[in-house]
Amino acid sequence: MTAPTKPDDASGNPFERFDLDPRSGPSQITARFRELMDETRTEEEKAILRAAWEELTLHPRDRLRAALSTYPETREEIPLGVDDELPHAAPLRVEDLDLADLLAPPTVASALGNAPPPSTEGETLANDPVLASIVSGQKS
Amino acid sequence: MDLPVKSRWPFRVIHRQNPSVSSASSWSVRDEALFWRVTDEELVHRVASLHVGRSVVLHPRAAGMIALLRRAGTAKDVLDIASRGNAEPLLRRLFDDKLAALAPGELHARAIYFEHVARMLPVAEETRAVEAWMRALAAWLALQKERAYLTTFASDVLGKATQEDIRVAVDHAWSVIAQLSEEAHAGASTFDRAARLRVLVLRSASQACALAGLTEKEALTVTNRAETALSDITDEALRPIADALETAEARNADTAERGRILHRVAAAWYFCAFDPIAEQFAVDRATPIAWEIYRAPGNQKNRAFLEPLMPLYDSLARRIASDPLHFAYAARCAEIMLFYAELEPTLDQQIRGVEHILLICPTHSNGRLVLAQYLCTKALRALTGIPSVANIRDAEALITRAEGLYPEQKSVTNARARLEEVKGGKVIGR
Repeated sequence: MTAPTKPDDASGNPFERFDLDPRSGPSQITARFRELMDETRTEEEKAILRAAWEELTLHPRDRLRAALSTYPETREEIPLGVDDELPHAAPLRVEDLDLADLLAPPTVASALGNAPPPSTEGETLANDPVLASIVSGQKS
Repeated sequence: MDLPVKSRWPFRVIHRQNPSVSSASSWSVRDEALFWRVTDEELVHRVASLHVGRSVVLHPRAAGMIALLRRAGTAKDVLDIASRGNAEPLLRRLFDDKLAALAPGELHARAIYFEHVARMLPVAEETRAVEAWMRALAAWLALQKERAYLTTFASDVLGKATQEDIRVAVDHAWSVIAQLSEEAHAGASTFDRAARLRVLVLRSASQACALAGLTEKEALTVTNRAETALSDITDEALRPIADALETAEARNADTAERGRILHRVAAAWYFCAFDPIAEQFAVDRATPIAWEIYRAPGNQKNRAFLEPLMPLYDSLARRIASDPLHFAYAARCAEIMLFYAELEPTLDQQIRGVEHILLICPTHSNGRLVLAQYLCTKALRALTGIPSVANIRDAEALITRAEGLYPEQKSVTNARARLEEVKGGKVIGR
């Protein structure tokens, strides 16, 4: 059983452990746990999921307490279906990138596990296939 | 998401490249929002890792704490520095921010952040962990006043929040104190280090109240709750010792065995962050054992028995001297300390010890008697052989003091008689 992200389990909070929005209602929570249950193989894991599901759905006040004990959603909302272009900034040179820019964000790194990073030997940003496809798409 | 062609460049570079290379892409509002979300996620990872001292991954929602700082527009410098790899100023900012100036959402996020960091810090990092816990508690206490935010929050979570639901949200700070107390209680009988850390947090409740900007009256409610919890925790730490002593007494165990059991109070005292209840317990339980040893032949054993407990008695003595609330224990504390003072290796040390005891309890009869005897012994020593004028003067002062302490004592009248004999001019040196 794996959650989409693997934060350090500092609190054991089910909203974090199973990557649930604290504002989710019982039906959304149940749907999420059903998905997780489908991915689960062992009885032990199923029992853990069941306990967490019960904690969040049996009594609303338990859900409220758990919601209070996790990070509130204070990030910017990601607009859906908005493709308004923003004004372009001045060009950034590859030389301006620093080492920190080469690091994967923590949740991405966590999802990658211990896999070695892809080799970039002999590559330059200019001939990156994804960027090249975007550039050609823009031009056409 | 499947990319049409596999990129060999890390995700972050492509993101950063996009808004800048004008000819390369169209950069939408959605891309911008995603970009900042990922950036903030990375920054919160950096700052938490720096705080904990190892790489830690928080839940992606923790990035909201950085997003709020960014939106406030007052932390641009520290966020830029953190983006370049140095999260130190950003961490300092989290410590320096006045809680009263933070929006409720920020308080909530800070409370969770500090609590998570506190739980992730190793027990060996006691000071930093206590600090993080204390800040989490302070943020919860400050948030308790934000009733409108908590009401909306409860409604968002539950759909429709009743008055009782809102009360649960408003009272969440109390459940944090209760949880700390429960965790400390669970490790009290074994003096567990993580449990001791919780004790230290509860002891810092008044500091948390000050950080949260609570009024004196509000702070009193918090500290009273913390004090009640601490008393229970100390009782729990002392309970196995009390039980073991009772069992030992029931089967007439010797003083050595009972002494060894009682010595565990020193560990309990350290565990409960030097609670006076443990000091009083040590006084009450040690006194009968000390008397038993005193009356038995070779009462020198009292020194070995009392030695490990002396820090507790010294601490209680300081409390008695500075706080009238503890004065009820003055005589009992003086009595147990007297056993130890009597076994000091030299007469001067014995006198100093008993003088100290009389500072704690000036009317302690046994203490006055013992000091009077010691002063007379010292005076008589000064009068041996052919005493100098200075020696006679010193002896007179000592005897006069002894007369003031316990005039009817035989050793005092004997010493006065000897002094008069010397002063009668029979044997006076230079």
